[in-house]
Amino acid sequence: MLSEFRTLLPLVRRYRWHYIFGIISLIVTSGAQLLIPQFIGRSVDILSEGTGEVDRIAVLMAAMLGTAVVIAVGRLGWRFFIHGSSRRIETELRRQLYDHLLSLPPSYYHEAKTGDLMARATNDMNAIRMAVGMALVAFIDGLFMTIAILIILIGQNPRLALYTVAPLPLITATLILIGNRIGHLFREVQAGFSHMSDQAQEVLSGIRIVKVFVKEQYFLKRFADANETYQERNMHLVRIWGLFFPLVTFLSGLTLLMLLWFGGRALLSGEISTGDFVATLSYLQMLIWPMMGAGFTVNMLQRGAASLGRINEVLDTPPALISPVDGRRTAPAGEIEVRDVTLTFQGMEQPALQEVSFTLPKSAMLGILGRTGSGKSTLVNLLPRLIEAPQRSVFVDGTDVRDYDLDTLRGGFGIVPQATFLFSATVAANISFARPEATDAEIAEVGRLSALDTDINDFPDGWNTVVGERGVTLSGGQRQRIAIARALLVDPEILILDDALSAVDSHTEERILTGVLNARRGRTTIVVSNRVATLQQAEQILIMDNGAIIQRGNHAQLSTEPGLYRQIFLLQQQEHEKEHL
Amino acid sequence: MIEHQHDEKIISGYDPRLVRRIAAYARPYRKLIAAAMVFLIIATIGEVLVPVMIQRTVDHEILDYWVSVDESQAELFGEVDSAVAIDDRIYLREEVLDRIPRSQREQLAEANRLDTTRMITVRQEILRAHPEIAGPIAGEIRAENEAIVVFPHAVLDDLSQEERLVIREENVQGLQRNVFIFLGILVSVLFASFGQVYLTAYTGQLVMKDLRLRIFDHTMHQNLGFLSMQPVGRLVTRATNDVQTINELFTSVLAELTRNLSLMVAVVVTMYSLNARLATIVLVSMLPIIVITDVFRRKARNAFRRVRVAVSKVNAYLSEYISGMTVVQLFVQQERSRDEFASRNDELLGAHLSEMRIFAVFRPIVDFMSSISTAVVIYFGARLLQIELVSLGVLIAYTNLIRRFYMPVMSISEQFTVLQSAMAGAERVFDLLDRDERIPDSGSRVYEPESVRGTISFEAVDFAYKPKEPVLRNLSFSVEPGQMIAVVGYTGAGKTTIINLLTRLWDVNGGRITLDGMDIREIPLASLRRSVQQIQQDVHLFSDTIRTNITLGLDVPEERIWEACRAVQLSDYLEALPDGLDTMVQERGANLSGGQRQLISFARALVHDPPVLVLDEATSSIDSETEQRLQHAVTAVTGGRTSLVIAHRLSTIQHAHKIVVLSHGELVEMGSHRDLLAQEGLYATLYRLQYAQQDSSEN
Repeated sequence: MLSEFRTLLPLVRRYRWHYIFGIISLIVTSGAQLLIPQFIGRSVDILSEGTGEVDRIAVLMAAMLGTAVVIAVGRLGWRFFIHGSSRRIETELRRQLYDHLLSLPPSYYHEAKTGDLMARATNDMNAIRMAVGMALVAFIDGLFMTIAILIILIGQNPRLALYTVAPLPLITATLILIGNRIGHLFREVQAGFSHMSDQAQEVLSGIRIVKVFVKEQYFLKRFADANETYQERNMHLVRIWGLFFPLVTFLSGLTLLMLLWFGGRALLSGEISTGDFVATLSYLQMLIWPMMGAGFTVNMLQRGAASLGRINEVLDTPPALISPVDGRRTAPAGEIEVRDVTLTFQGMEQPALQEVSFTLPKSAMLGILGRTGSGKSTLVNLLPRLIEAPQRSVFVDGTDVRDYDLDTLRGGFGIVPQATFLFSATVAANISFARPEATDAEIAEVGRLSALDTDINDFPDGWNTVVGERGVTLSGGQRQRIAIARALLVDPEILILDDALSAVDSHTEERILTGVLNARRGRTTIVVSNRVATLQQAEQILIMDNGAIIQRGNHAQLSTEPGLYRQIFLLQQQEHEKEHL
Repeated sequence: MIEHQHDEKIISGYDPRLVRRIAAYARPYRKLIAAAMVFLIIATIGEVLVPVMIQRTVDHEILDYWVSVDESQAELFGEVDSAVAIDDRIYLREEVLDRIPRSQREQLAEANRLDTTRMITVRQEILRAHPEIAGPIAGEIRAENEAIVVFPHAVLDDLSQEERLVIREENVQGLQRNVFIFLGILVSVLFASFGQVYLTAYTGQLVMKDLRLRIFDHTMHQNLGFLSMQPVGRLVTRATNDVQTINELFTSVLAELTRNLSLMVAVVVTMYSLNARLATIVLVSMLPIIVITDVFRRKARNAFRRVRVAVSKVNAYLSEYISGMTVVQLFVQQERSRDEFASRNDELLGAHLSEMRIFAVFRPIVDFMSSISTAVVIYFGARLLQIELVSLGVLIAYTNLIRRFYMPVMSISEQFTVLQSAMAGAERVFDLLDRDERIPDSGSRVYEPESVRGTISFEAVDFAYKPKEPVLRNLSFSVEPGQMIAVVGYTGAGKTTIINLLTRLWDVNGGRITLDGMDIREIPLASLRRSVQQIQQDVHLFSDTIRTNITLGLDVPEERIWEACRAVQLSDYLEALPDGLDTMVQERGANLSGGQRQLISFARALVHDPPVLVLDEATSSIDSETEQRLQHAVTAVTGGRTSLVIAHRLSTIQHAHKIVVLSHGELVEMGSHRDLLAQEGLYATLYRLQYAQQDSSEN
């Protein structure tokens, strides 16, 4: 458990002065608190003597208020220092986590769930903050107060101290016991909640089926069952959790009872003074919090360690692609060579790529065509090292991509992936994502190239329309075109359009491609598409099937050669003719 | 579960309208709430009885001071609990002295009618049993009769500890009695406060359960036009997370806030009943806390809002950038994203720190106020005690009561904040419940699926999902009972819309659709949908057993399910599974192939056996073996049944009685496969383009 805390050590060390001042304030506060019952007790002694020295009491009370000021300032101090540092450590750790996430490869994000990573950055951070803040306070304060109060009470009257303190450890034990049980029940409640959410999610996603089969009642019943289970599990939790504070009140009441009985007898026999009795009463009440604190500390440290474990898991995941320290920093010019690549993904029997080779001179256009799953995307993702190719098999400008500085390599590419991801920012901000400094004119220019200029007029706020906000839902084609504009704005040496126009109608696609190719004269472009018309202008076309290149050539050659390309070409030609009937 | 709060409104405060609406849901459980309130009262009384018991024990058993007054003046003190008359004097507990004014007391003392020397009363039999003590104190006796001996309290100081315990045997017994009463109080408080927590939580849970069910039921019955505009996640959040925040009203407000407030009131009441004058003085010292709490509440609310906003910014950024990490890396924007995140993260830190500062100031102030009140009690109490206007036991009880008064202050101010977010949740939930966009189910014709013959007719149907974007234009065609009609056309021609209209997932904008000559709007919705069922291209499977996915909860004999599975050739696959029909389907059917999912949806339709079937064939290409099974399945489900098929398979259209060719929402050609081919129109082109290849690959 303790080994998990290693990540925190440098952070705690950074804020060590905060912690030291915080702990000093905490101990001063606790020490001053111990004086309060003395003031009250001595006042009571004066009162019970009946001599009526009100002036002496006034002095005592003034001293007590002075002490109370010290306590207030001390409390303020430790809260500032310790809570402040725990917040700072939490923030710093979250920053480290995000920094690390930025370096993890795409394959990591295929496996990891966004929700889970989010939970680590939020819920787990909370648990860690509690461990480095409240747990520390509860531990130090608890230890100090317990020892000090026990010394005072035993010094006053050992027998009375033993009897009255006896029920207090039960509070700690209750907390630890109930804490563990509650942890289990709480997870059950959470699971019930997820199950209920899943039910709602599933039914509302499949609402069509529910409606057409008239199954509203059936699925309502299912939801009702999940709802019921969740409610029952909540009540199981309440049964224990609801007992918690009443039980603590009861146990602390028991110490009062012990005091009343044993202390009362001691008072009757004159063994202790009335003031001692009252002071003991106050001390016992002061002990309740440290006793609860001890239980909390155990729970908080357990949870903190578990959460840190989950954070360390992410931090310990190595960035799979390592950028070489002295990698090439000259931007790629655009000549590409792929040498005999065979690639099998982990856990797969079929290789994703089989003996794939091709060369592409600078400023040429390459077309790739093939069925879904034929390896087109895998192939283009090798070039910017989104997928790692074997050593000495993928070269840009004659240099192995693995010998490039990673950022330099990727900086040379503009990629429009199959699945379009846009951020919920304005259209302009999405386009200028890679070049925030771009001028409006530049954005308008790439917008025009991507045939966005007409759509923009229909958007409520033009270029400043926020993507994905209520009311403005972009069509798949619009999203794809924004993604193309985003890549064009970088004006990359190598542009890869990975089936990037699938949701755009063929007329617009033609318009875009012609414009783009004109504007990119002299630079390399790779287009993955299943539309023959798109690929016609390519100097070289690769036809892929089951991860292998089965045909290659230009349009003139391929359209006359029997095979997949010709089949598709003929079909699409007919379609095209019919569209223009 | 993490809630993304970017669209969260934070409303400014308590809204009685919302509370009334929530209260309406709580009405069925008013008995539970009443019982919880009874427990609350018991627990509160019990809690303030604790200091009262301490006071009684200290005053009556531990100190046990008695004074004497002349018989003639006894009625000045009214009713007293315990009094001993010896000779012409009455012995009373010292505490009753505060019933008469100080000046009168001084007068009486001067006239020798009142003696305020502290005495102790002991029973004669105790002294008789312990002559070793009786001897030394014999000289100190002030008064005695057959039963009681009275002597000054100061005499006790000269005795040993054992002797004192002996002589105060009665007090020891009284102490023991009080300890038992005290234990009784503690146990009652334990049970009552647990009962209160449990019952309010239970009520809250029951109300939330009803509310969730209501939301889910309401949502499920909205029309698809409304539902398709709403992200599913948001709807789910309404029924789950938002209801969860409303629950805080019960756990925080009803359980905690009422408890804390009633405890504070009870403390004040107890103070007054113990000693009105001291209570007034202490109360004045407590007043500033009201102002302080109010100031704090405002500041905390603003800080809390800032934190919420900052948290949702960080969460929104994280969730977005984790999903779009590849784009960030592709465009080498890690540096910028790092800075962007760091600035949001720092903003969150700033918000947290300012919240922390407010709490860090408030809590010590509350504690300090508690110390001031204690000092006030002791100082003014001492002055009152000096003139015998208050007893020591009362003072001790007061110091305990003051603690109990200040303890809830901190949580009360936090509960107000909780109240606000509960209000915001309630507002979102009721917004959803207030929207009602159902397909009007006003059909009154008694219509049973068994009696359906199956004549379908589209009569000049117009339809658009969005205004000005017509999908179907003046569409008319009809299907005779038992016939199979194939609908073909390019994507976007409006084929799927026909299914949506026929099952009234949407209503037509113009024209009408009839079933057996009746406008489908006149048929009760449930009857219509039981009569016309569909098989969808995109098969939705639930995470349950294959059996449930086929029956969808319909109570059918095992044999019929197998029959259906055999008919669509799913049975051999099921038999190969260790759990057969009871195999669990993973989320979204991940453990089934596309073909198997299709076959399950065919079996689903067969089991439900509707008179009219609408089938949207899957376009995706599947391996040839599955393809054959699917073709077989289509024949099985459509055979002898009125059916309308959005056709993508050659065999289907070849077997159709009639083919309807759609283009841009309009009917362009209609007729049999042979006739249409002969026409050499759109169908003929379409056929060659899309189906001829299938034809050649099949042969």
